[in-house]
Amino acid sequence: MVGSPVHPASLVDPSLHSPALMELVEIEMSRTLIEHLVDTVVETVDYALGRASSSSRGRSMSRHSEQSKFLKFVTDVLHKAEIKVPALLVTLVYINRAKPHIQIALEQWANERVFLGALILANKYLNDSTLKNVHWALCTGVFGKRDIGRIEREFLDVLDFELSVSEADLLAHHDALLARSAPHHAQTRLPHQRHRRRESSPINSRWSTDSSDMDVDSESSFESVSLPRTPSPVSAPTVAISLPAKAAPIEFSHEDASHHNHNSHHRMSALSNIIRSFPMPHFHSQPHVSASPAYHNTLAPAMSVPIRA
Amino acid sequence: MNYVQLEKLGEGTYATVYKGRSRTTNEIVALKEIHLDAEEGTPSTAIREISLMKELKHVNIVRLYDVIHTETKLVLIFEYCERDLKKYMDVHGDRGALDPVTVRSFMYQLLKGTSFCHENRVLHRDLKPQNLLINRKGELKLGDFGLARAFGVPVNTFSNEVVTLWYRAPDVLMGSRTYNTSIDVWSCGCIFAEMISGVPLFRGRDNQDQLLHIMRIIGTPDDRVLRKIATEGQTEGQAQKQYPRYPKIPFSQVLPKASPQALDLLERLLQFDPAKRISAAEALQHPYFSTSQPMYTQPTPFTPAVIAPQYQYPQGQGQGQGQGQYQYNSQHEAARNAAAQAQLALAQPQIPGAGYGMQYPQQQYQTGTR
Repeated sequence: MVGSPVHPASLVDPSLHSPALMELVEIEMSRTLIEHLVDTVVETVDYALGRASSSSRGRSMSRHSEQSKFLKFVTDVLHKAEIKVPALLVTLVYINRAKPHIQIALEQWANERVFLGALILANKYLNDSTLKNVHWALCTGVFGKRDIGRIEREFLDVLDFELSVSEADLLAHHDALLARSAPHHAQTRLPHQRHRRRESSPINSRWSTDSSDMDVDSESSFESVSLPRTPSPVSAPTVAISLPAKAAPIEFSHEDASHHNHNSHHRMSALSNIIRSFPMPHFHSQPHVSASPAYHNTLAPAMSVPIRA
Repeated sequence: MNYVQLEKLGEGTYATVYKGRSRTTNEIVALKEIHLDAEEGTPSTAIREISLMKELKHVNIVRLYDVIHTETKLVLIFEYCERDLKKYMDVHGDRGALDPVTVRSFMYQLLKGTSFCHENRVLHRDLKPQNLLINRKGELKLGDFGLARAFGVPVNTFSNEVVTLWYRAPDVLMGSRTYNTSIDVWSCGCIFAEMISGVPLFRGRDNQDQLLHIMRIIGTPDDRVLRKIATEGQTEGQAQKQYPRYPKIPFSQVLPKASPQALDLLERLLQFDPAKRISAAEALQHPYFSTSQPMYTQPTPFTPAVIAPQYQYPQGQGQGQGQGQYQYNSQHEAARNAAAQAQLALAQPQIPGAGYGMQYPQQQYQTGTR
């Protein structure tokens, strides 16, 4: 008798999973899969920018080359971070879940940001040993660790920390992905996600981050200079992803908070302006392992994933 | 922010816990402040803790009210509980040992919260007295979901470096990564014994030593079971280990104070073979919780209404429903609390906020593996 009848990735009897789901998680990482991801991101960003979806109709040449550059970026990151298909599927789930809630103020690097936000969260949520932001920064080659932190924070905000994944969430991608294997069926409509959680959460309005205050001064992600930061540094957050629900200012008494923060805000801005004028050597510090709590010690050997760049 | 920060309850490398008060409702809360390091970003433990706790709304699970996320810190706002079970045992126990009525109530609530997690496809993976919070009403709540994970959908990877050593199940000690809800059940068994006796049941120094401590009490299982579990946990090149053949010591010898029903339940919780361990939901049906026989050798002050309790927990602020032991118990609890009030006032500043994810210094030693 060998082993238990438990699927190592679900910890339940595999016979409980639908055959379609098993088929889905076992597909190979392939160019078509990555293209599907790229299309999903581009469609989502188009949608958020209020542009007509261009993915099924003819595109301008510039958009086309933009998109093939993005495809290369995605392929590189997936490769360097050694992403497996299940994490990629969950990335798709998160992008679709975020779609109705994303607002993008600035177009530059929007595709990359949406892609990275979903991917990084999928990885942190699904795996006991995960890459740190400094590793993700290396994998992208262009973003600094503070940019990554910001992307992560924005995406958590958009998803409102709702990261749980159901079989149905995954199966929503089944047809589109398997149709991909048959040529010229590629551009079928994206399956629709259910957004039950957001609607059903009665304390939704209490969920917030105070990023409306903080994001402006945290605009000073220091490693700007030649990096894909927003070209207009101080004004709007690069990708002002924000949750519509958040507009209702029920949650925090802004009088206190903003009053309190404004002073420090100005100081921060001044400081960051100074710092911004120097290139920050952000990758050189040794990734440290010990900033984790004691119970992390139990995870430590597994968590300090070496970076293979 | 919308909360006034009051005194510090505890501090660790990862987070600091403060008592806080809501500006709008005046409600007392616990603020768990996690410093964000740019290298790591938002820790995966915090991401999962928030995501999972948002969904787990149950009287026996600490409620997460709100989250504040900025570039430098992440603040989790939790419902406030007076103390954790470890502290409760120190303060109220007889050298740590709780009275049978309290043990039964806490055990029921522990299993209730655990079974709710499992129904919702969540493994806690770090159940221990320090992570169980007790409020003024005598309600027990599972806290610190930093190691918790969702399961059930085949997209995850799992580590076997989970659960604080003394509460870690033998299959995990043997390296299994295909553990399931039964690892939390094992921890519940360890906690049960600890509430009865006042001291942790298995106190190993490291993984191997922990396994031997377990075998010295529950006996070395037969080779077939050992082989089955070892196969699951086998890491490459690791030869099958030989274990000394220890006979089983009856739990009645280990815990002479416990009733036969309590011992029977403990036996089912602490099965070496994870497949044989009772589930949390089944454990709630155990006669230990419903027996009309006197449960304990010492006289118990049950009133007739208390016999065959339904364990309907009061919804909200004691809205009548709660009959049976729980109701009795919370009154009992209230009386005790009143008596111990002065003492508690003194004890307050020392409460380390453990159940919100703080560590006792001693614990860091326990946690270390190998």
